[in-house]
Amino acid sequence: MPCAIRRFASFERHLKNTLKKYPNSADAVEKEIASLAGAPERGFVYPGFGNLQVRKFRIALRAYRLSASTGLRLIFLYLPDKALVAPLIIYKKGTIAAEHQVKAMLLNALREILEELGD
Amino acid sequence: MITTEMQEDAVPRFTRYLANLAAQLEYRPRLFLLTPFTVLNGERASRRAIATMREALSLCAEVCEAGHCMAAAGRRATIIRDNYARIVAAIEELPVPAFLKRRVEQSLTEWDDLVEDCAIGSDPEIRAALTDIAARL
Repeated sequence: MPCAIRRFASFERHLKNTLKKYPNSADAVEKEIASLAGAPERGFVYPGFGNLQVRKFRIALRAYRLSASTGLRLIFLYLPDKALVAPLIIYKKGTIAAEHQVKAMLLNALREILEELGD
Repeated sequence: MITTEMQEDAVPRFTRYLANLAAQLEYRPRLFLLTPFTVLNGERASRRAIATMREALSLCAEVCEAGHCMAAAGRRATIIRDNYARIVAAIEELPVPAFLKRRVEQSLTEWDDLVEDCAIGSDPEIRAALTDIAARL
């Protein structure tokens, strides 16, 4: 059974900003996100979350000749019990040694999602 | 939980090899150090080391709740990533064929990804926020 995909406003903003530079790949990226419903167990899984799965999936931008390793990064939640996938953030692989910026960006996105979800 | 000893077993030779190569290139840049054989051999060893580290991390996927393994792996991966960055900087000046440079840069990206994954996975605030979001969904 395919999973439901829950898309947050925060994620939509990140997606829009990321695709501003790569408009020709918008459809391909949307297809990749939609494909998570049928195949959510993709990419690297962050350890230690038990039943909850936090995964990172790399997306190539073929229209711009960018491979998966230099393309986009999509971090998403997968809840197998609820058959639910929730994309959290999407960003372009940037400069080397930028892990602190990525962490800060992800944390901000997660806070926005928590605000959106309310209590 | 993945112990430091396990990680030391997984990638020690590659870590030493890369550190030596980076140091030699920085202080005595010689073209012969980056023959196709050196680059391709290094790339294969790099892939093996990354696969070993990711496999080791996946072993503790359901039991290591505090992200200690990710932090430990991150420290090791950072050393390798930084040495790759030194090599990439050093060979920019050398007349190395573009396809070889791309291969070294590709390895650098892979290690940088691993460092990034470890940084995210071991951050307590991020882990707490993710658990909180999952609970509310």
